[in-house]
Amino acid sequence: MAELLSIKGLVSGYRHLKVLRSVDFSVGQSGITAIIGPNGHGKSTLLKTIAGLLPTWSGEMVFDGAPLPKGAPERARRGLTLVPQGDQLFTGMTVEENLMMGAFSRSDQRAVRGTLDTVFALFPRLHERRTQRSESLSGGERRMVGIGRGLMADGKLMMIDEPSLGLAPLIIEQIYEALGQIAADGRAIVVVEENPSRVAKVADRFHLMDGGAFAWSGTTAELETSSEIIKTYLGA
Amino acid sequence: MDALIQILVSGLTLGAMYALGAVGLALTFGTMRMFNMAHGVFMTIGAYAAFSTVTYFGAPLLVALLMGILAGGVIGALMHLLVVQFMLETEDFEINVLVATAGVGILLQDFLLKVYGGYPFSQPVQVEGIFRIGGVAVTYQSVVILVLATVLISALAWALTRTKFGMAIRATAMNREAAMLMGVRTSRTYLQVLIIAGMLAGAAGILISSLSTLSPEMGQNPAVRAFVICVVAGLGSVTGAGIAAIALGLFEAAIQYYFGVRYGLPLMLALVVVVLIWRPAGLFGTQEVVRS
Repeated sequence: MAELLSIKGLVSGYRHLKVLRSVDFSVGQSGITAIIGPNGHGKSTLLKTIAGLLPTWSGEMVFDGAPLPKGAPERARRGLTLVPQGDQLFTGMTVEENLMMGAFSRSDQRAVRGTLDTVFALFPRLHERRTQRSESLSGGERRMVGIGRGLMADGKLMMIDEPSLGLAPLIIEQIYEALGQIAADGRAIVVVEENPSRVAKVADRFHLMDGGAFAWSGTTAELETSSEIIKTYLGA
Repeated sequence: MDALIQILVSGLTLGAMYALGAVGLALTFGTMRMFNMAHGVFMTIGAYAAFSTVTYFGAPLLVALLMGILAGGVIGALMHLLVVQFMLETEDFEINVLVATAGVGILLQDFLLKVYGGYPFSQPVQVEGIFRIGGVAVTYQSVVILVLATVLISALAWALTRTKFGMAIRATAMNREAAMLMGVRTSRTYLQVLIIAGMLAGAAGILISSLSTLSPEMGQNPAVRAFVICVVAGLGSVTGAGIAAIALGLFEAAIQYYFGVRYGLPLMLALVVVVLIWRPAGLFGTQEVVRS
């Protein structure tokens, strides 16, 4: 089966600062792919470039059989979803309004309602709080809204930037349990994490990012046997 | 009692006009972080468009009113398409767009002066006549102003909270990048916002000129008030701008009644200073203020 996302020689950065040197990256039709590595080496930059928030300096990106269009809105409409770092919720809107914004580019309202039920089933807490403004939520609940809003797009690929950032260990476990369930439904997910131990249980493919390029790539089994490399990079 | 009715009537009339001007400005700033310095000229253009429709084409008042509002929308759209959209991604957008819109404003005002001259025309788009509430004479035009402002602002409020198009505007205002990630084409959203702000300004211009006269610089004073109202309300708060406009209209009417017309604006500005010392982010502002 063809890859869902295939990237060759991607170079990108902020203004004049080159961050991604040359990234080759591909994602299959399902399962969780994890991008790990220390902070400040281009993990978020990669996701933002793929999502279209940052311009591509050079390189090729093919998604679902066609080159990616220009601009974040068009890419979102093609089914490429990014759950950005720090949630970036619409703070003045309620939980339900936030979730419905996730389905902005969908027109079949019946199917959207169906997805909303799925999201509420996955995160029952959000159903309880659906009329509450998102700024009054706890950190864990906000993360759930962020991920739920990503799910509402019903896209083909969901990229999540540091889902564990700033959360208590117990909440992180809940979030990853949910991600595992989403992936079990046959959806493709890309997760960025600083520390691989959190994603090790659910992800099936790993890329270690260092200095704007992948320094190591492998499966879960390979990650276990090459733990020395990982330790060197992450200082764990 | 009559005094109270008098203040209420003229205060609400003033407040309704201020609200029409301020709400559009607040929406523009809230969504795009753009201070439209040409907002006052948008009002003037609406007023002159309505005037010309009646004077040169003999159209009925309702048509003239619609033409004035439409002209405001068109000038808003042109502002986005010819100027603003090219500046959106520039560094220091807020400053650039401030200077650019100020320039466009001056240009348009001079253009109006060239075409119509400086003669203060009276606005034909108004309803004449008065009726009495108790001992107070109320013009039908005040009623028209109140009704039109209420209808337009309610329509905007409905659109912003109940329609998908409005949700896109609010989402863009709250978090532009996140809105783009949801598939909102923010450049189109900005165009829509400037059209709406232009239409509201056009309507405000027609109403304002109906109480005084038409002149190329007629938009300046109302624009200053609209800016002041936005600052008092808290920059970008649309609901706040509406409420602050009504409140300041009533305040100004009371001052005018008890102290005289010329004290209206200065005392209103004094009140604004007091409010900003007490609440630097404005009455309804959510922006955090850092004081050193």
